[in-house]
Amino acid sequence: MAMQGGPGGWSCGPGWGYGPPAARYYCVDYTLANVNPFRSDEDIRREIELTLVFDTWVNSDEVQVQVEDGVVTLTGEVDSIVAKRSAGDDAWDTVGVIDVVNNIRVRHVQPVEEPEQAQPA
Amino acid sequence: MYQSTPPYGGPAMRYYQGPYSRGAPLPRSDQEIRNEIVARLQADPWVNERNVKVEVNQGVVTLTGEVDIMEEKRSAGDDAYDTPGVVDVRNELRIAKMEPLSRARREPPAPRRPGPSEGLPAPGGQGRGPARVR
Repeated sequence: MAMQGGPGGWSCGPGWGYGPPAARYYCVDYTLANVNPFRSDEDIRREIELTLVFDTWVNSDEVQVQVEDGVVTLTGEVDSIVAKRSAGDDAWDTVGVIDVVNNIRVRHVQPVEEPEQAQPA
Repeated sequence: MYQSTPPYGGPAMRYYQGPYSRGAPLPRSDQEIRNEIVARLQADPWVNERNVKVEVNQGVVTLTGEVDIMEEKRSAGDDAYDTPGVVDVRNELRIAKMEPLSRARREPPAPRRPGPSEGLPAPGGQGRGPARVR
């Protein structure tokens, strides 16, 4: 769920009364000391899924979460880029996460054709 | 409000403001989008822009390269998301300092055992600790 205190001594929340407004970034201390080695992948996955349920920007049914060795992979298909971004941020904000691979597809965006690989002669 | 010219909004202006609330994405050329993203990366204190390669193809931004830490990857992705006209973002940055992190997860530190000089006093001793010299 949402972090309550940032490492810089600011609490997180809207407006300057809490520090810099919307400082979503600095809410988690991504340092080696903060990686909890005892946190299982299953535990992380459950917390992210619960966060997605309560995130009003995302329909949690559309997003699948996989966690492997602390690396979160999000897949699925959502309606807007905001939902994709928000799901990614939910994953980033979870303690114990090392990296996020956001493979969510946005509907109505044409998939970009990969550049042609030079064929070996 | 959203600001498209420098100084770009930092975290204070991130999020849910800007292009999203205006409905349809702005028609912008890929080159224009790329220039703004590069300028944002240069203005971003978290990111070393030399590590990040930006490609824009029909509004779909692809970030590649190798960055140092997690904040750098996340922040570079947010800079791309914050740029108007962007349709999708593929953040394919690799984090260089990932290995110590994943090793720490794979091999959690062994539970600490008390050393010989601490813990319970040796049997047969006084049981009250070492004699004090006054």
